[in-house]
Amino acid sequence: MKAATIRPDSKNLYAWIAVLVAIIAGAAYAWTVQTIEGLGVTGLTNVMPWGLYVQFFGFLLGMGGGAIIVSAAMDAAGMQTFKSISRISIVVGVVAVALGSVFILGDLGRPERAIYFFISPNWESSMVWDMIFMILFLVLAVGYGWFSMRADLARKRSPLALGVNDVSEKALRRDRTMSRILAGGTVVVGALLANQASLTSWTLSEHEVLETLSMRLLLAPLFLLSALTSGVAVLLLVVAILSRFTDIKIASNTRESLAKMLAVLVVLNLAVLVAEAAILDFRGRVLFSVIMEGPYAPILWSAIAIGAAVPLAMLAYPRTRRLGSTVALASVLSLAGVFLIRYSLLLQGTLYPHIAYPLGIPIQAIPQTVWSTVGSYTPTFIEVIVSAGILAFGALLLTFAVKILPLKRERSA
Amino acid sequence: MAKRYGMVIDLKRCVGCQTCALVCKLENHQPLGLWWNRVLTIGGPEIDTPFGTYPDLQMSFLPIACQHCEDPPCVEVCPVGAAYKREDGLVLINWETCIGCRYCIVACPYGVRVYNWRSTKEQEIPDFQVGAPEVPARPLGVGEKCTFCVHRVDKGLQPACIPCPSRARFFGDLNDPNSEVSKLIKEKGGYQLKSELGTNPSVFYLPAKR
Repeated sequence: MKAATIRPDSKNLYAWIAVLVAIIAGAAYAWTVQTIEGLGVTGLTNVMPWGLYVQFFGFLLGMGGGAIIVSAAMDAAGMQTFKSISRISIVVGVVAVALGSVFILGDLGRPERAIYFFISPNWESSMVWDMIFMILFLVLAVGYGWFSMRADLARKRSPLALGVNDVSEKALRRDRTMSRILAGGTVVVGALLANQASLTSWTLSEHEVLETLSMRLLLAPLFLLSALTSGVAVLLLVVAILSRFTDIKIASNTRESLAKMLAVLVVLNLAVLVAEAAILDFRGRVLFSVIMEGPYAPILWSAIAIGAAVPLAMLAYPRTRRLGSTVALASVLSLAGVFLIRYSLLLQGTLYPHIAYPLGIPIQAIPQTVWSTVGSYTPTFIEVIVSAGILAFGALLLTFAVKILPLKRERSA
Repeated sequence: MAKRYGMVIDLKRCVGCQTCALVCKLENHQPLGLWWNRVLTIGGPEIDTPFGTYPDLQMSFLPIACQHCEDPPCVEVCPVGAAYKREDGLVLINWETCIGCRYCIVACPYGVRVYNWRSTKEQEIPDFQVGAPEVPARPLGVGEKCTFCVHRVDKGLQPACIPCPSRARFFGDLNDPNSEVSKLIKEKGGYQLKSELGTNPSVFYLPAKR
């Protein structure tokens, strides 16, 4: 009945926590600067008003939703395949989605007014539905996690059992039923969440705004698939890290199943991208060439090469697929691939103003005003530091989760 | 029938002098780098340049500001209801509740919304209020745009950009068939920008060639 121990103990762990805290402190400073001086310290402009923060918001929501769907779906169906990683997937999913909401706060010009989401929500706005799905997901996933861990928490006498210390057979049965019901709910909301970016583009496509996005028929499957891909990839990565530094060991056949699943998802992702490219080529050459040859096309191409082709090659061969280090690297590359594909989508969405005659749109560069008829965006140091800090905060939460939560199942079901 | 305020801009009369853009900037106290009203050149690659090959050159202008749509995408996407449409058709922003998410800037098909990226201290040149005293200074981190000079319209006046040196701008009630704007639209073939999007703007343009 002991919590996972982190090896090699104390010294490296404290060094790791110190590094994370240092990054978080840097981010807190950068965020303070941004709040006082305004979002002008970012690379955002009136032409391309969404960048790295919105990108991380969408990416983490997809990743969190995807990570949970993979194992919760099997839990809800009562299948045992990924039973051993279901708790890890819950914790990763909850932390990822919670971080996504922190990125939204970082992106707001007036974060102190975020309360208006609840005071005066506009039900027509897809952003409000993002929030609702996000909160619903967190509530369901935390409940799902609590019911699946409660008995082990109670045995450890952890306060997280919330005083429900009954470990009789009847209580365990109730826990299993509740966690299966909540797992089902989490899958449904997780799928909606993983798809939130395409939800946003559907709303916009009512007015055919964001022409570059709304013309993309396969956006919804692309987002869902990329969410699942990043979800499986992050699980593989976390499992690899846990087995390196803690005594949480996941059976090699489970890990290989996940690795195979990742390979299949990467292939499906590529297939949808190719199908979409074919449709775009057929429907309108202009958009096709923007995506394939425009200023952000190199991001897409490198995502396909490094983020899909290379990990696929690594995962295709049974010999390399069974190597822990290869799988970890392939997971990192797939995560980067999904990140970059989504990033190029986001940036292409606002690259060209809808009415682009000279003078163009004032992009408000100080000291002199610059007008622009085409967008350009590069994240600034401040944005990178704030983003790194939020991610470090997530890593810190995961580290504590390993310490205080029974991620390893004490009893086989 | 309720009023629906609208504007007519005669592109045949517009000479691209930018007076309306400047008057708007002063009247509404827009900080450095923000413009609610702009005059674009439909012609060559730069401002005031024609397109075509000499002697077949063409140049015209497109003054553009908020189109005050009947079905505004910006109002639909605003998560907190800070962007809203009044009974009389004016699309406005509540600067006290805007959270600065910039969804409206992404959603606007006309690209007329701008954002307060920098703190006013840096931006305010001159650093004292100019223009109409009723127009509040906008806080850092909110979106802003043309209000049809709501402070003037509510007093029964016309927006500040209407007295155009070449008399290209008109303002009035689109729901009144006898108003100057309604007649101009009917008689001179007024059209809306991107009407295919179904936003139904309250700003009409009279064609440069007719």
